[in-house]
Amino acid sequence: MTTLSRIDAASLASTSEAAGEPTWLAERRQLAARRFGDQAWPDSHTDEFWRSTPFDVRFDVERELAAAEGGGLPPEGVLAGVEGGGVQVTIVDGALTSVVQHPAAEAAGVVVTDLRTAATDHAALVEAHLGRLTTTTEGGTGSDEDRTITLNDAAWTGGVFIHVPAEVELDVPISVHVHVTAAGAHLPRVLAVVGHHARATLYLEHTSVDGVSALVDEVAELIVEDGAQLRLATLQDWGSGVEHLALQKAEVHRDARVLALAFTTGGTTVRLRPEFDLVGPGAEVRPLGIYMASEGQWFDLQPYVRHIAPRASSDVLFKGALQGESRTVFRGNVFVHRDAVGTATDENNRSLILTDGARADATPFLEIECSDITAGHGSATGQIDARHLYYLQARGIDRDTALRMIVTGYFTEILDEADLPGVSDRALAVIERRIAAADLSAVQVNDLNLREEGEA
Amino acid sequence: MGFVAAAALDALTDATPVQVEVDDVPVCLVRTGGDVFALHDVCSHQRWSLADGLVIDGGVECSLHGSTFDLTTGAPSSLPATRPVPTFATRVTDGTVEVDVTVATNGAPTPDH
Amino acid sequence: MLYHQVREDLEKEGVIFLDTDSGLQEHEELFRKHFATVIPSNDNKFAALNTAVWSGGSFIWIPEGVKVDVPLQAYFRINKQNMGQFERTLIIAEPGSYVHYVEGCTAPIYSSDSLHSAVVEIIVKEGARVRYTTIQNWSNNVYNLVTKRAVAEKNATMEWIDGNIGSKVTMKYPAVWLTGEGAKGEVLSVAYANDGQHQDAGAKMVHAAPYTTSNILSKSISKGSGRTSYRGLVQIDEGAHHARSAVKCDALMLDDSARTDTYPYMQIDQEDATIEHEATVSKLSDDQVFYMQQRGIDEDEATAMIVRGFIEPISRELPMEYSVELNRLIAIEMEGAIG
Repeated sequence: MTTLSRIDAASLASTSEAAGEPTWLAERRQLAARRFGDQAWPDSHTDEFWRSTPFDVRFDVERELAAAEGGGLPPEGVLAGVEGGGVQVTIVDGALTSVVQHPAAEAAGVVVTDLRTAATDHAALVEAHLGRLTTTTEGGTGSDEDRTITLNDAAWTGGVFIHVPAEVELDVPISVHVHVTAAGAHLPRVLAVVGHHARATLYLEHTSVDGVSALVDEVAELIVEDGAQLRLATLQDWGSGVEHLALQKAEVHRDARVLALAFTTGGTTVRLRPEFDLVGPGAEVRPLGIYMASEGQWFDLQPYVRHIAPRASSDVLFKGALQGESRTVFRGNVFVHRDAVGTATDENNRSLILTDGARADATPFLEIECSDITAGHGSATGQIDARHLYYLQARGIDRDTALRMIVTGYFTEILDEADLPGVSDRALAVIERRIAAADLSAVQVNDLNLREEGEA
Repeated sequence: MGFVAAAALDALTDATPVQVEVDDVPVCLVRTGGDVFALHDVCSHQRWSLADGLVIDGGVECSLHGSTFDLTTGAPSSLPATRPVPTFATRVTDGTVEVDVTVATNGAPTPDH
Repeated sequence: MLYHQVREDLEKEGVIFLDTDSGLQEHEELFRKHFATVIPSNDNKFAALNTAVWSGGSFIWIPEGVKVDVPLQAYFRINKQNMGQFERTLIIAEPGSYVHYVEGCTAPIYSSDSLHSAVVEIIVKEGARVRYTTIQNWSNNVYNLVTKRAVAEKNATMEWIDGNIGSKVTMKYPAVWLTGEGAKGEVLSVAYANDGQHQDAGAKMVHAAPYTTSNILSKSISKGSGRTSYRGLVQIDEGAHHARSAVKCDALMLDDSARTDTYPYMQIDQEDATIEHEATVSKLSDDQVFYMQQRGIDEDEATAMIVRGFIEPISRELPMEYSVELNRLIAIEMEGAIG
């Protein structure tokens, strides 16, 4: 078996043939493989988007592609907490192991199936869309300048294809659960097409056996057509030892709306790119993020919104809390094309530093080519304000409980807005578990304002 | 005290920095005549190898932004670096240069980028 | 104030104010002690070039406790050189001193040299304060790539007031390294880019000591096919506890083909730092212009008024004759602004 660095076109060709992949798919993999061969791994000294995270230190590419053994059942997914359940897809160690449909989805003609077989069974849609958002095309907005993306384009192993037909309003969520039990590299792929005026909720859950040393390089492409609505949640609830690279890119068409929540608490290193191309007028996107980093964790979160069409709006809100020797990087990029008249864009990032040793970097970028817009962003990093703590303590609440309330309250604003069945409860449980495990006596609050008020 | 073999003395050219790894610590070795100096190889300003630079005026210059770290004290001659890099004790035994990376002789903290 | 009067007063106080070449010759020890300690020769390619070939610029030394009331300008220097291509300026303010240095002038400077790469190093010692004001109006063929950096020691204050109006491309990020406890750094930056111009300006603040504060206010205006970029860094090093920083960058776009970018970097390695950053981008308000027209003010003047209001927090910090000049320049530039 070959390591990631040495993936080559020939071996990919034979794997593709053995799996019975259609010719067009095999050819695309070949193209990506050739491009992969011409690229180098990211270098934080030369690649602007990798400036804050040293790729060679945080990611080990000398790993072999994990043998898709399909062994082990993943832990209970988010759907367990959803009354009425939903559609459950399971991808274990890079291979799709099960799809459990839901009567409501099936009746509506919603397709949820293995991506490889979909390449044949749903050829029209898959051929039209697979790789379109990652490959650079004439005037396109591909992301394959990054070798980690080309890698997945060339060598994705297991994947799922989802199609919500036009005008179908699906109330039950579709959950794709990516679970890792085997060491090595995993390359899962997701392709979802939400037809015009349809409505859907999609979850991407990520879990692993604690301590398994693995690299997961994931690409999800989401096409949201005219007037459609998509609620997306991606939960990075990895055990320790996982290095996660993910591009989750949505193409949002005319008057379509996307709400996307990225919830990141697990894994040793997570580098997440939630990207949104607003290609239709009136498109709306609300990227939300929650992150909690503890000792030894490194999260690099890069929401990227591209306003290509006029009158679209975007409003990014990412909130995080850090403790111990941890590092988070928030890189919010907003690009407004010169034709994107009437754009309204806002972006906010807040990082709460709970204890010593934590470091939160922020680089919110704006690149604006059109003047007829409103744009802004704000970023703040700091400790819990002592006034909030004393306010609660003055009401008889002990320090530890008060701190728990403050941190939970800090995040529930986002969970309440997202209002995603099953996810809110699961996320809250994780947040509470992390706070409970924290050394609250080590949490420091900032009494600068308190002292200044005292002096006034 | 934990002196570990790092390089052969003969392999070190005068005033030419060389990077070696000693117990997982990147070290920059500089030989000047009969003396060998050892500094932590990572610049205290940004993540860059000091061994990539030139030896100037009793110090090694970081090739990225020009701060020169004194071979004896580890202190930078100028901005943009503001902090010294750790210096390590060295000795030569039977033609082998040995370095003790267990303690920074100048008390400087390990650069953490 | 008369030129000779200023010079006499300075000499009485013991202030040294010369062109850099003379500074090196006449005060070699003092010069060498500080030269290249703030910006070493290999800091970046343009600093390297400047270090090799510099000529001209100012050398200023303010003795302990001396506060210079009158803003010093290159005009007042003995041995005034013409605007050099590779000027090198070194300013040293001894403890408790104060000086305000003003570089450049609002009148357009025509240069046949298309590359200007200056280096400015400033050392503000304990309790001292230095303000450095620049209004740059190079002709539209010039590439203006400048490295400006100051060190502020204990309880010292460094203020950069940076106005960028001319040049084809300007890349300039006045910086303050806050190395002493309680040091303060401030950058007020105004950038105006018209057709074919790119003002890539900003600021860098490095907090390397406790109880340091920094403030950055950037106002940029782009018109025609002009492009303004704010590029800034706020870095809080480990150990710089109780640091505070606030950054505000506002961009005003006057018409459709303009472009503006904001690239702020915040690297915060100390848990109790309080860091805030805010940016807005907006276009000239049609409503505001219309309101003024209703009151008998013509379009061009209305635009000029709005732009002046936009940059007022910075222009009010300029010496009187500069802010008058700046307002006049804006009025000229705004003629025909609304296409």
